[in-house]
Amino acid sequence: MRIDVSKFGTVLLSRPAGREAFLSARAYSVPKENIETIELDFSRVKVLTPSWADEFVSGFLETFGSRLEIIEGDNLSVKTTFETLNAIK
Amino acid sequence: MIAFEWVNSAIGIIPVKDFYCPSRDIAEARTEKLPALLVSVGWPEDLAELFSATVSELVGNCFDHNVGQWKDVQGCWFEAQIEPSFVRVFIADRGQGILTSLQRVLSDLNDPIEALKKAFTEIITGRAPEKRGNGLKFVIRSLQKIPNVKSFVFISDSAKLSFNDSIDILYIDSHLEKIEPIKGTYSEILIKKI
Repeated sequence: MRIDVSKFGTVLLSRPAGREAFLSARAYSVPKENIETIELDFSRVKVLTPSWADEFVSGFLETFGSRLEIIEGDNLSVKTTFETLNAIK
Repeated sequence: MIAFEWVNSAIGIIPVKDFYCPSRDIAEARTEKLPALLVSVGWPEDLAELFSATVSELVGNCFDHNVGQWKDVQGCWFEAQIEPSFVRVFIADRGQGILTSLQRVLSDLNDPIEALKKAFTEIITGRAPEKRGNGLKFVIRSLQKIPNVKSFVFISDSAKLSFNDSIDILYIDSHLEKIEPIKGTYSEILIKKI
């Protein structure tokens, strides 16, 4: 299934907001059963920071591991955020 | 009073309302306005968004590492001068500074310059065991993508990191110097017309 991350806002900045978005997504956006893969689609996000992304994506990684896929899209702040996070991992 | 005087002052003074963010909510609300303000003075949308994310990381650090640890005045100074010919941003806090923060995980660390170097080049955070420590690397990576960055200054304790014209982290040692200690952290970015 695919989650449109822009539904949590198009300007995604702080760690507490990223954590809160993950908790909300886990409760309301992810079906309880029969999930093969989760796609997090950032293509409609306007501003993303590593702080927000780290809190949001890390939560999904812990649950779904290799079944998690990230769709970055073309936004420069999204691409730079994932360049930074990927360089670290 | 300017941001550097505020973070240097022996006594904590509440900044003027326009620059003072006593809480994260206020800082975040002001940061969210940045993209539109930058576009209004001619910035391309993609660079305005990237720079706003950069500023947000610096502002966020003021709260991520200092809540409950302020020397006196809580919150941060956040000032953005947005003109058609230049953009200048000042961010400062009277918090614990990078050395004290990193000493939580590196107890042998006692050199402010070494602490600042680690903060910009290594994956490290005073908030272990949380997985953090990528914000300042993102700041550097972003500023390398934004044209016409004239200067970037970051000060914590008695350590100053400064770049002029190009942000070349490979030779970070040549950009570090010791200065009179300040009361927390201070950063300043100047970008000429894009």
